[in-house]
Amino acid sequence: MNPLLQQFLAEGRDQLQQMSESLLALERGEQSSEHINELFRLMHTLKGASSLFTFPEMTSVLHIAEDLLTAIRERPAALGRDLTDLLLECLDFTSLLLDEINQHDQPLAHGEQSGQLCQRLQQQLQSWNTKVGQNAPLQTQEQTAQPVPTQQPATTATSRATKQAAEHSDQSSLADHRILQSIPEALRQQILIESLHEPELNYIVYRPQAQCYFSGEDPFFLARQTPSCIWGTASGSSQDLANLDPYDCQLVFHVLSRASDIELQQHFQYVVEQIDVAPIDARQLIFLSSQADDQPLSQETLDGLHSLYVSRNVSGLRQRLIDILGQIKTQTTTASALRWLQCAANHAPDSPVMEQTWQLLTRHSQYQPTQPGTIQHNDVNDEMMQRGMQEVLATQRHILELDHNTPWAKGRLKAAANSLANIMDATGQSEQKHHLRQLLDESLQDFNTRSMISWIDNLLDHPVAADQEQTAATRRAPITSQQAQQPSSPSTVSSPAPIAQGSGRQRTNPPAQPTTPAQAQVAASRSEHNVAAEHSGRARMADNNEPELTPRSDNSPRYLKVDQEKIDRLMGLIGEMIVARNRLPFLAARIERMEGGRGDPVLRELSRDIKEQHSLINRIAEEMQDTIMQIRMMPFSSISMRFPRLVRDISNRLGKQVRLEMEGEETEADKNIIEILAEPLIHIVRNSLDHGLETPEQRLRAGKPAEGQLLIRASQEVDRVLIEVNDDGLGMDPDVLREKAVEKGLIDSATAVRLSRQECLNLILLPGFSTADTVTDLSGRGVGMDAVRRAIDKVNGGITISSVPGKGTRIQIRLPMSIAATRVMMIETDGQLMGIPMDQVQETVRIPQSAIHQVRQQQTTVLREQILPLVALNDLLQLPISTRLNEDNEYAVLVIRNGSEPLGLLVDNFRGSTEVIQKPLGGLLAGVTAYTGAALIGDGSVVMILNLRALL
Amino acid sequence: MAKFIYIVDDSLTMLMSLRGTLELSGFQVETADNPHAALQRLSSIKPDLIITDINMPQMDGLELIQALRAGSQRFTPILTLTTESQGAKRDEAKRLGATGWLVKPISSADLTAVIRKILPGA
Repeated sequence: MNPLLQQFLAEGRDQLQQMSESLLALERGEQSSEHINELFRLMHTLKGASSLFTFPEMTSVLHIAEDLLTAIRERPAALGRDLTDLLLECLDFTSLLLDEINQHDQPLAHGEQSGQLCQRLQQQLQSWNTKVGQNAPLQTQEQTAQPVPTQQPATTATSRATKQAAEHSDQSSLADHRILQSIPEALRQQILIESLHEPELNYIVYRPQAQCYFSGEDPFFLARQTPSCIWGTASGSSQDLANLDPYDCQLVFHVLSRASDIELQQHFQYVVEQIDVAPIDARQLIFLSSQADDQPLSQETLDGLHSLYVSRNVSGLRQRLIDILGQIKTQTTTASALRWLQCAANHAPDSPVMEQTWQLLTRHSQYQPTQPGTIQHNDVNDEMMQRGMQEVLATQRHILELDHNTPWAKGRLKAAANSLANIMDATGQSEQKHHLRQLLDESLQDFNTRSMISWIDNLLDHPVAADQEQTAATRRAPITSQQAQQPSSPSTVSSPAPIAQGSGRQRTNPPAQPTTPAQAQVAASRSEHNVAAEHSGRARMADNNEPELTPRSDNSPRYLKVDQEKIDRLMGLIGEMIVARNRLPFLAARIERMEGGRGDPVLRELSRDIKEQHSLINRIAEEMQDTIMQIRMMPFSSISMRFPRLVRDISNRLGKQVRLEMEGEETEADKNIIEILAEPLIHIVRNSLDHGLETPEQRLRAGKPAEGQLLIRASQEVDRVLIEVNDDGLGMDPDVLREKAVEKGLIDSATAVRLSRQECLNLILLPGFSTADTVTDLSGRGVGMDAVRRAIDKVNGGITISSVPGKGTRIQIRLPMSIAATRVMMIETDGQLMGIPMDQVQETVRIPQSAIHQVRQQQTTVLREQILPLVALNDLLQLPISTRLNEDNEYAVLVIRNGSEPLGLLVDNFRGSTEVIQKPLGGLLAGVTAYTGAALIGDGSVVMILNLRALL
Repeated sequence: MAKFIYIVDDSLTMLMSLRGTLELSGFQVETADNPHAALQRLSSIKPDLIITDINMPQMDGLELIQALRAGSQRFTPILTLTTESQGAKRDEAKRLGATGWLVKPISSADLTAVIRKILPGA
């Protein structure tokens, strides 16, 4: 099975279990939002995980269940029995599917069942909503509308964009125009040509939020990745430098793309409210790139072109255009107009584009005298220069007015002075520079900039305040509205960087575009300052957080889920290491036996060192073994957690009232032991509920409280785990049991009479014994207490039953805490070493041959005035050899427990007890029942561990 | 160098699935199954991207995002793992500083496409 599925199964089971616990807690009236939240969270997680696979039935059931829980969570009230039952059923259904997946990798089809479940869940959901609806109609409305909201943001943005495009189609084309102007002519022509075949062309304006960097966004990258992007640029929003936060995103992106609106919404899905998309006609890109330099065409040339144009002689026109373009400078507006015409003639001679480009040329060349005149570039330039200079002066003045009580004030002043000096150079007033330097030196001494400010005021030939106002006004105004009046004024901040072009990266605009070095300085020092603040802030935060974080995370449990096989392997390895360790004393002994070993000081020291190392390794190995065993330990709660549910279901079905109490759930034992315990325990609990505890009426009649008590308790005895199941039900009458056993032919009446009360109770452990007169569908399934005993025997556990008629029954199960290491008695028979688990051995005795008597077919002896039946191990193993006697003619007898009767086992010799790690037999030997396993012992030899229960 | 993605989800199944997909696509992946462990680990590492579940015990994804944004991961892109029905939580997460969201169940193609859109050079 693939590991992902395995993980899902393991986790899914845990989640189902936790959910059912939460449900029961809710039903018990532990009314708290905690449980319902937990329930919801688990359901949600499980559903999410299930959708990774194709288990449609599971996912659909869980999905509706989750919806139901959502509804319940929003208006929690006590869950009724019905609802709890239904939800539990969902959990059971899921659990069933998980089991099937475990077996077949796929759940089987349960079309009808899952359909029904879904339907019932749906009904509950509806009735819950109506219930809620009566109290809070608003909430219901919100709920029914829920499937829609996921799409809402996209719809809103699209409609907003479309609306905007529709409302402001004129304006937006104007607005776009300014930005579009920065598209290189060749690219515009190419776009135009391509648009003849591919009309979809969208203009996207993306305005990232100022705080976007703090959401891990990368607006530049996102804009750059726009699907089918043709061209793009970024402009900075203009803002007062003093208030500029370099951590804010100041950029606005403009992108041309061939992608559809839907694709774009998809691409910008996380920032959909920050973009506007408007379709744009490629013909809007047809305009001239105005150049400072121009070379007008002669009337003659224009006439020639005109006649070709009106006669539709496209090939002639193409040829003529090539000729003319070869003769004039390429960097002129006229050349631009000619190129447009050429482009149209080459690619779209029959389209309206042709006419549009012709108009472009004729208008520019004033071919028709009615056209408005060309712009007087020189005048504009002078005016621009003047305006620009004034603005720079005003900005410097503004900088000088700032608070100079800062560490970077000195740099700022110098930078401002530099800018002023540069202006003096540019305007031919270099002689002023000397004076400026003096003023700067003065200012640097006391940070009083008043003299510099008044110097600037002198330079500005009109009141500064007005100028500043104007500057501020232009800055505040949206870029789009400016282009009409100021086609290329330097004060409009944007210096667009083509994005689609190869060089895009280097020319990315910084968040704000400082117009002068001084302003750049301000921005830079400001950002430095912010970085520093940021750093110290972060450092502080880290300091504060450290002590807070560490204990917090210590509180949360840190678990590793490890494949059990790995632990088993570790266990096996440590076992082998212990065996290897045990070789060391042998080695030391060998050295001592060597020639001159004891006398030779070198060899003696070597031997001693080996022994020392042995004890060191011994200590480490034992600690390791201990640790590994602890890893394998599981709390009793891992199986007991299913009891609340089990008891609830069964008692409900039987119409009994039962209060379940559990104690010692934290008691730990080896995983295998705990797992083996699970089934028998369920059986015992069922028995108690079915046969032990009475109905409320019966109980009241017997003078007991209507509610029965069931106590399951786990506790630890020295090296064993004790599990008790107590009920205060009917109890068992030894005489009734005795009769039943005789009746069923399990024992003869002669034996029955001899049985003690305790022995009578133990009769229920016999195969085929059932006390209930009628077989119910619960406990009387032909699996009786004998199955329980078999399971417990398997791990060398013991079971004790005690009962008082009318008062109740107590069943105690004792199990070893670990089956990893077993203490065995080593015995010898037929020259072989074998092991017998110590907990089956009562004592070892030597019995003279003369004390053995033959009673019928059975050898017996009398031990402490009790008859002890004897069996030879050789006979059990069908070895054709009789048991050996020692020099004193005595047999070695191992007294073992065989059920409740002791039995003497004749062996050749005892060899003491030792701790071994048992390994189950594999391969061909796996079917051999006479042995429970094999183990390695200290000298490296293999010892078989006898399975006496199978042999006897 | 492979981009480094850190994933937080209480569902080990989900973690395993995401890790498998992303590692196959050449990302370096580290995971945490609870927000506390994530918070501690993220105080000392700088992943290129963080993906976090919203519904988690002890501390939910929203709180985690807040803590990360206030602490060690101010600028790291964070994607939330949500389901179709969690529109509100998703918007809330966005408000608290998440970069975007993934909608479960997500195919491996969609997952890598979204990540490549978020992570330059991925």
